Amino acid sequence: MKNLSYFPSTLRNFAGLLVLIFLTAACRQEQSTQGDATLGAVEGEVTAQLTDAPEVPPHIGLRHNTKVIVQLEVIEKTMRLSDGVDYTFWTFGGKVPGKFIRVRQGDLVEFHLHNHPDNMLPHNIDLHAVTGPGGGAEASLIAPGKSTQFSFRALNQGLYVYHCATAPVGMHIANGMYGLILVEPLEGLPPVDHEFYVMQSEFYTSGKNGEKGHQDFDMQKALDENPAYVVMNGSVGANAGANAMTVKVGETVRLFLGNGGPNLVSSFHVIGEIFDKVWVEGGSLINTDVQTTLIPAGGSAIAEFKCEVPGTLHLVDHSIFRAFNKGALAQIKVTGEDNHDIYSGKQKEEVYLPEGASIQTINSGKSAKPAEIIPEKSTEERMAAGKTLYSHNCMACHMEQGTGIAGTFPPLVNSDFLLARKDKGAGIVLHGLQGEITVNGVKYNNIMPAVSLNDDEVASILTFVHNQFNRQNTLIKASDVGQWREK
Amino acid sequence: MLKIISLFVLLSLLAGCVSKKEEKSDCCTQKKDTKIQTKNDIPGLSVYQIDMAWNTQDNHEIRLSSLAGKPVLMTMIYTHCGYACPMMVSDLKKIEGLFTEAEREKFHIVLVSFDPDRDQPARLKTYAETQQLGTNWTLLQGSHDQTKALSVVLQISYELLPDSSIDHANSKVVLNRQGEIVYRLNGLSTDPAAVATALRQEMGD
Amino acid sequence: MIRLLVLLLAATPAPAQDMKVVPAAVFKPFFKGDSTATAVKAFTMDTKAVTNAAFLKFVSNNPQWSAQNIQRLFAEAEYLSHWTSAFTEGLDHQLANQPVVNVSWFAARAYCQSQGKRLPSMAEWETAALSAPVDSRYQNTNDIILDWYSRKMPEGATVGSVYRNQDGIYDLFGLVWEWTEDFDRVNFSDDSRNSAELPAGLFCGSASIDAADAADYATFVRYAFRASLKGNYTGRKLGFRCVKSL
Repeated sequence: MKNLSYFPSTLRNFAGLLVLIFLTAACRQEQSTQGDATLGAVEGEVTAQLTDAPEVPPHIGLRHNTKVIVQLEVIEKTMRLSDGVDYTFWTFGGKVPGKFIRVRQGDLVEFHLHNHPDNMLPHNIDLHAVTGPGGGAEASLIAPGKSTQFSFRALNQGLYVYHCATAPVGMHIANGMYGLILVEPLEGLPPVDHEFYVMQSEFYTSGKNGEKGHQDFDMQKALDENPAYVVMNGSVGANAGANAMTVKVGETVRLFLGNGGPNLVSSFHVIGEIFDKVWVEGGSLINTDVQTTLIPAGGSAIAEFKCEVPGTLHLVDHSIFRAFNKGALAQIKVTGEDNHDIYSGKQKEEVYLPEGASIQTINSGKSAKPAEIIPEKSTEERMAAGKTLYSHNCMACHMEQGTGIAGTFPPLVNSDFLLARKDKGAGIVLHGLQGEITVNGVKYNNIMPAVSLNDDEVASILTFVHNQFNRQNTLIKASDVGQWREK
Repeated sequence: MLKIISLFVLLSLLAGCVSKKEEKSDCCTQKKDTKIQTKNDIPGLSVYQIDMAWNTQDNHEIRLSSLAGKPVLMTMIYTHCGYACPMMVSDLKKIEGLFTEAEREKFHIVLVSFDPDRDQPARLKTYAETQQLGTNWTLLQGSHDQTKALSVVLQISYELLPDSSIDHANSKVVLNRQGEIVYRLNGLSTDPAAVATALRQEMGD
Repeated sequence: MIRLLVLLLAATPAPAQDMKVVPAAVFKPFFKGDSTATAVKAFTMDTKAVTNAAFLKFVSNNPQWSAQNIQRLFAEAEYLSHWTSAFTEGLDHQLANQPVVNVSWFAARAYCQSQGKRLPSMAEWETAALSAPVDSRYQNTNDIILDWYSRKMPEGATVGSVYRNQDGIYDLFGLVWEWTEDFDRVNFSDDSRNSAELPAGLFCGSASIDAADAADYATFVRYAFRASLKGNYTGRKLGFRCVKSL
């Protein structure tokens, strides 16, 4: 009977011990994913999937510290900077911005940098995600035809810029050598429907913005911080028009934003949207309900929003001349059902006469550009030039296909109004137009400002509009336009 | 019979002469089969491919390849050096100090002079004595040309300045038994343990 | 008779590489390492970069420098990789007058030594390169450099085709990078006691602090290129020419 009384107490103790072990097991497991996880053991090996803007590699989320192998190649390449404008870019991976790299906090990144043997110059890399001398630059300077390897631990989460740091650093960056590396936090990022990569940067060319041909880097402009181009994703219109990003109504979007500089800070805004969430400066601090967020030069930000209504969202640097005159513009096209409760569109328009009937004029009626002697062009030349000029000067209102906007801006396509004009439209472009007009049976009453272009440019635009949108086969001469200038 | 043979021999010799001269006229083509045998199985990346004669402090002429067979701790100095080189020698002695007498027989310590004009063997000998360098230390003097070539291979750059001083890098290089560079450490007052470990690894097998 | 002619032809020495004098100058080093300018004595320099034809002749007479015989210590695997067998067998002459590339420092040096010459020092090369173009569509060397970086130079250019400078020397820019005797000096900070011997001056901000003229980015690029080299390296756009002291 001694055994019996002994047995229950031991059993109790034993059971108690088991319970304790059980309870604490859960605790211990939790502890191992926090705290020193970033320097903990690394298991397994994977090769990073790299993407070109605006694509982003897939979500990583929860997993153990892994060895991630990154293979990145530097290629010097001549490509389009804008319509008719070429530039010799120095790239990480063949495009500007460079490849997007995605890893997780705690990963051991084994970085391989390759310098293509046909390149002219040595290069290296500084990743802002690296804790170590030069961010890797010290270990990675390589001549053309060579490769280098170094590794680092991703100690901190966040969205980081990487760039070349070979002397002269400003020139290497100015020629396109930058990109982003995302270090996901341990628990991963919350899921969204779309993630996009958008990086702003500047280009300093010896010629003015729009000057055709191959452009060279201009060091003086770079020193003066006076770029000819400010672009999103490496060239004017890289992700606009036909290349716009696309999303459906109701979907959530996360933008991984970067600013390669080399000089300017970006005041990033999406026209038509508000950021529900912004990871300030690409770090862990979250701000909400933000209209415009700063992206420092050599820095980043992450912005999230949900698309509630259809339309085209314009991503801009709100230092606005950069967006509309230098190219700092990208687009997201949202398709789907309207929601008139959130946004109705124009409900009504009427005449407004506070006192008197004088209408404010926008222009004096005479174009300011001095006459230049430019030789006449052929129809083909006018069509090509006219197309570019139309997209720069007319498309914002009259739209890409000349359809205009119902009720506001008249269409140019199959326009009875235009075809009836004796001046073929020259007077409208040169002097502007206001007051009520009827186009294809629909009334319009808006104000078109005079467009400040020379006769040659106006002739090209009109030739393009007549032939492209109105199925005419006409060539309008600069001299024809000139006649209407004084009238 | 003999005459015919000798005539034949003479003719064939002449023919040989002619054909040789004709070969010379197409000067700018590379003969296909001039493969030179690699000497003594010295690996392609071995420092001992610099196959020239150097003078030691004992006025012996040696080729670098004679160092093969044992690992080597190598650096470059010059005896008129005021600060850096004495520091380098002191660093090397600290490394040596981590080995027993017996172990020290198993590797060479080699100092190559940047300054062949002034660092003649006699001068190198005096230096070894005043610096109290052990018997397994070898000091070498070579021509300017081979000194420069070795410095590029070892990546220890230097420049002779007009005032006779020499601006130079400071590196300790470990060569394996066949003369291939397996380890380097730049700088002065460096940790001796790291270099000693590298040496031990080469001595071990 | 024919044999005599053949003998004569064989005996004629190859036309010597034309050389011109580069006058003495005071050279201001690019990195502030040496705060005093150094005097560069006058010297003669090959007017043109060494050609494939000339290098082929050297290799034929010195077979240890051929691609099949050379040791990796002296040249890496890409050494002379652009030479087709048609070229080396004298059947194709397209490469003949193009500058030889894919040569290492050791090979370039050996070639110069075989001619009784040597490689230029950086100070000598940079001094020679200061001379402006003459009778050229280029106004200054910076324009040539920009075109070259923008990859606008034609492929397969022959030596002497880019520009001639006021000393009568051709193509110091715009054709190929050129080896110098002391290229490895770029990696070095001038203080022998400095234990941190990284090419720190070439990274990030410190480069612009130390450099003689921060806006002279073309020179930066040249020094950065030299810093990335080792003695046995070769490059598709890296050649050389020789000089001789007066």
